[in-house]
Amino acid sequence: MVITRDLPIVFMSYDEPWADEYWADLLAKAPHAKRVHGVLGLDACHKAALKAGGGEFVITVDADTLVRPSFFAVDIPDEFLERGCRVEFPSQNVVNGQTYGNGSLKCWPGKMIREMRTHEASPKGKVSIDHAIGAHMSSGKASPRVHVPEVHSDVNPALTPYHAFRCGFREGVRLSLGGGGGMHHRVDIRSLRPRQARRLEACCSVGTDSENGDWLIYGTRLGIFMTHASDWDFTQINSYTWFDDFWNKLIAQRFGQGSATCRYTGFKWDSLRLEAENIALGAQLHKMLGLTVYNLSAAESRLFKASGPEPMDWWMSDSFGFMFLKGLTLKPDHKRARALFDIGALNGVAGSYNNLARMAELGHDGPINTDKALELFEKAVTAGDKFAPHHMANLLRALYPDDEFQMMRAESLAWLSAERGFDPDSLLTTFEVAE
Amino acid sequence: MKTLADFDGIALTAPEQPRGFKLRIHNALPKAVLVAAKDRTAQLAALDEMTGAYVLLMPADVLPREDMTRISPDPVLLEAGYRLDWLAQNKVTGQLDATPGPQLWLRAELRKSWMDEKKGNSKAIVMPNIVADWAFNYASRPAFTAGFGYASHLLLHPDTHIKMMVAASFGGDQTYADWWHLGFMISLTGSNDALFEYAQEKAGMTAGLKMQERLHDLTRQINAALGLGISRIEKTNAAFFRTQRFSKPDASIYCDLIAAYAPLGKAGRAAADHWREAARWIWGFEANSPSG
Repeated sequence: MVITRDLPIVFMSYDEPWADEYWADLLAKAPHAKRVHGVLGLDACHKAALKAGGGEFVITVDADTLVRPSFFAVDIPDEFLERGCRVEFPSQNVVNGQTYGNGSLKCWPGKMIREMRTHEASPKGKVSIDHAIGAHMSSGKASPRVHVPEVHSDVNPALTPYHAFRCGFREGVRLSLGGGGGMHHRVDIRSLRPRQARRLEACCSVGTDSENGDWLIYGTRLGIFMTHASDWDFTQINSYTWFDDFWNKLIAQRFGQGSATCRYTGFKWDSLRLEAENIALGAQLHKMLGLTVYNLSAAESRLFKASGPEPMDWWMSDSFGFMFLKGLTLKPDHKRARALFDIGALNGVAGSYNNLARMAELGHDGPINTDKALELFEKAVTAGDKFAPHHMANLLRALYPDDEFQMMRAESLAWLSAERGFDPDSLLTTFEVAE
Repeated sequence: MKTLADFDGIALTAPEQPRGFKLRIHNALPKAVLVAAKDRTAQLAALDEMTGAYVLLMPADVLPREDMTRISPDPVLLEAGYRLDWLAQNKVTGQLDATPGPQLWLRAELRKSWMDEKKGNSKAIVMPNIVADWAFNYASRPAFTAGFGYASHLLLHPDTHIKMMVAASFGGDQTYADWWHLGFMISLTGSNDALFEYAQEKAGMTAGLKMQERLHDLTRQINAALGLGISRIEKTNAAFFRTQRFSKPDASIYCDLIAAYAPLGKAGRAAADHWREAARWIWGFEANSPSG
């Protein structure tokens, strides 16, 4: 175990006018903290942070994030650090109440930072708008992320109109593309997983009670709109120079010179015009993309946050189990995989039922048990997993090759998988060609 | 392993019922018999005709969800003498707190409780699964009395102001939500006779009193008296709150379950560990100690 207070911790700021205040806060809690400031490009900034930290690991803190004292008593198991995982602790967004990776505290292995090529440094022809660290590691291995379901920080990305807009815009682009980098194409926004869609909805709707919350919402809505309703190149969000231009030449001009004033920059804007534009943009998102966003009042936004807290991404236990099952970065350990899938099943995670079924089918957890596998596949299918119908179909075909009923059942299941988005036999393509 | 669908069951019925009530009960719980909620004699007779040791009790206006039929009660808890309760979701506000959910009783205990309420089984534990809907909002009276009853419950407990604000603010897009809000807020004013108040309000509405004006006045009155920040959510925004909130039970439900499992031998300790870990993935380190 390594306790977080014994690891190098680096505060990364670029152009945030409040950064000195937040840096002072971190320094008061962690006197050994270091700071990098003004490094252009997120890839370069993380490389600078590793260097500033001076160790083989580094914990990074974004400039809009306040670390809670509880973080400094957290233990990180050696096995994650030794095997080169990035360990992530989600952060709570004080404007919209969401708890996820935005502003999260991350413990990085130095090797990963040195080898990654993300954002502005992504290889030619590869798209990176996030630390999709699996896709952009020179080693090309699967994403070695360990998500820890504990909140030890609060992020406020809306301390100035510009920063609120920039953060909202980036999140709008990222979340509407499925939340990760490495995307080469736009995805149909309606195909987002329910939880991702709900988060996107919340980011587009909550926060009018907070200082500059309207700007965060506007940025998010505009980011989604420009990504999905135009041919604009969404990788521009990696460039803060582009953002500066976009803001100064277009957004600030459009809303500037009103009575609302930023307490940090003195920027003035017309808050009624911003509110009206937010509503109009919301209507366009609904009309053109089928995305429903809500224009919550300040009181409704306050009530939304008061009625929380937001649960964490509980289904991540399944991804973690899968890392142990397949030996992805972590040492293969079927017992721990099984334990994590059991947890997922308790929490109703469809994928965990499927993974437990596969373990029973393949004998990864004791002798092969096809009855148990079928029972678990059944649960996974009912719970909505997209892989389970395919695997269950294959198992039925293997177990009952001469049973006409079971073969028909298998065929329907294979179609169900295809409809849910897993179509390894190209059933849908074949069907379309035949049509 | 037996699922809830395999147990004998009694589904209590209100004088009127939510749409599709009988069909949903029969589909999910084929062994359940329907008995009027107010007819204790018929309930006891139904109980006496059953043969199993356990009986699943569905309170009135509670509709099973599809996944309920796949739930298997844990024998470790049953053998320890616990009555197992599951969660039903409030159809108007989405809340899970203090809703009447399905209960798995030892048949003898249920009989005892019906014969003399003081002798009922007090050892009950709530399982953190949402398996049903509390669908009281099919008419004005059940919606009013449900809201009234929930407020009376909250008034007996400390630190309930957030729950009060939610109950009085969420769900405006659902049918008969106004009546739920009305019953809830009238109860907060200190009244304790739901049916009398319902009759009064109904008469007032018939005589021309406007529901929205009445709710507006009550909101102002209660916010001032109790220091609450009730702000009834616009109809169009109410759907957002329902989809975004209460997808998982509170951490306290897990904590109580973990505390119940802990002393139940090796199997109990293992289950406690599993549920502790399950809660941690949802609520983080907050999910640590019993709610007391």
